Amino acid sequence: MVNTNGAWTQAEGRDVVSKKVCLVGSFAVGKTSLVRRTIDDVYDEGYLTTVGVKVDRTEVKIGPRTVNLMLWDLAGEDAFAELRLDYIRGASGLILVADGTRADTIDSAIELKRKINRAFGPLPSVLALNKSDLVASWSISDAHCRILGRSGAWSVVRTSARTGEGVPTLLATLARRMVAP
Amino acid sequence: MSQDTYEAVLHAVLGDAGTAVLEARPDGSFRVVSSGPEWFTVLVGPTKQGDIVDLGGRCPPLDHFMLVARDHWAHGSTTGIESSGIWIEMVGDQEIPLEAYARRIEGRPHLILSSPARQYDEVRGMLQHARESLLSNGVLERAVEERTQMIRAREEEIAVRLVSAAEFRDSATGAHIRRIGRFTLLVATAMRLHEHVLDHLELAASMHDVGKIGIPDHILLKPGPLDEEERRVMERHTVVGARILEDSDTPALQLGREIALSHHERWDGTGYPFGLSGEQIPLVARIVAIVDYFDATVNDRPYRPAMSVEEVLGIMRGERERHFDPAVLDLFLHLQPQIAEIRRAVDLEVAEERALAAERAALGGRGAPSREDFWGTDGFALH
Repeated sequence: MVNTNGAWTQAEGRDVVSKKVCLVGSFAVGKTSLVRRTIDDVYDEGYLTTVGVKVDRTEVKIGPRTVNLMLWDLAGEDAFAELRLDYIRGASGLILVADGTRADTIDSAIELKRKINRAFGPLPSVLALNKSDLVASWSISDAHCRILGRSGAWSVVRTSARTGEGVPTLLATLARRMVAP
Repeated sequence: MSQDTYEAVLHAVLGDAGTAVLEARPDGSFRVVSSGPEWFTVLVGPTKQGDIVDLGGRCPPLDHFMLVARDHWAHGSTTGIESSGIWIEMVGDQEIPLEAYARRIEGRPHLILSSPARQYDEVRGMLQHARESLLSNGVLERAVEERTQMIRAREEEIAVRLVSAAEFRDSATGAHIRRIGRFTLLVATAMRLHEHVLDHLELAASMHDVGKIGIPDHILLKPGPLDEEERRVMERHTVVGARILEDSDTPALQLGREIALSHHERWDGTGYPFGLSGEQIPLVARIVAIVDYFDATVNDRPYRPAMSVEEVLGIMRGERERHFDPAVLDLFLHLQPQIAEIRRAVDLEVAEERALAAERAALGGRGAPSREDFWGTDGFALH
């Protein structure tokens, strides 16, 4: 069994650690698209809903260290489907994804974070405000973003799965938070 | 039926059904009971009935499920079943939905792996349709909301410019106009007026003195007391304001007309222009009468200095049931902490606007800070 939360090991002269990371958020906010951009560096136009969970792997280099991320892309939550909390067990970090053009998806991300905190305690988290390529259509104000960024519960990163903007920053930010002493 | 025959039949049937069945062994490995599906061969390698395989490390969701499965095999009921939920594995370039079940068969721990492709496609299709509908509805709602806001913003701009034109000739300040709107909204909200009224009240209240635009300068700007004829002309600002705002389809202007016309009526019937009394006076006008009096007297005017809040509230208490509606006045007095907060907020806003205007002038009209100024260039919000 792969140890996703083990101690640092050595590989090719580098310190390496593996971490399980869960992507959660409302439906159609771009969780799968962010993973596709990360893994394959591609973006598919159109929306294809996710059912269940799909796991992909990537790595982030932080100085001389490598953090292997096992990305669990969980189905979006809405009135039709509830997040299966059991999937979060063993996670070292969370990527909460919201769609900047739909303010209600930020409320959903906040609620999911609360729900996960209650079940597993606080986990290192990053909020991805996705669809920055559509920033002219965003329904959240800069003031709202500022408040979200200052909450301390998470780092906030503006991302676009379509253009790739902010995606490396998103992963690096979470990796740093997870391995911080 | 012997155990071997039973397993042979099971192997054939389940293989045809696209299901793999394995019996869990105490050392963590599995004995293959049925390994028919092609995807199982791709994931685990070629196997035959009776082979021992190690499933660990191949599929993270399956590894994850093993904790639940082992608990179930050890402590669960003999007839119960635990499910992993669906996960997706890539087999070649094809996405295969898989699901694992843990149950005890004949008292022995078994793991059942299946690919519920048809159910998966059905569920996915239904969710896709439902979520696309939600997204479309959301887009439509946002478009309607944006249009409504745009129309309202235009109405507000027209009204603000109208108020500004009146203000330009009067000694009243922009801050006074802003405070009147917010005080009125505060009191009306506390009185739980209808949402449709609240939506337009702040703007409508700010137009209460718009009729002063029709008063000659020598009367409007006279530093000393007005004689009887001048007072009669001055009192016309209520009627002039109502004339300016009448016959409009815009809710804020309709409400503004009511306020402009009646905000100098008095509870005891000695006000103007019609000498209405008590509840004959529209409620919104009774509210504005109170907040206008308060704000005008606690702030400096060119022709007289400001009075203290305590002093003004004392005078207003004396006018209870004379000038002012007693119930509205009582509420206004109760809301003094919030009134003080609004006064501080408006002062701050005005100071910030002045500073921004000065900054703009210094920058040669570059304008307000942009989104990029806020976000920086690396995508991080400022902490």
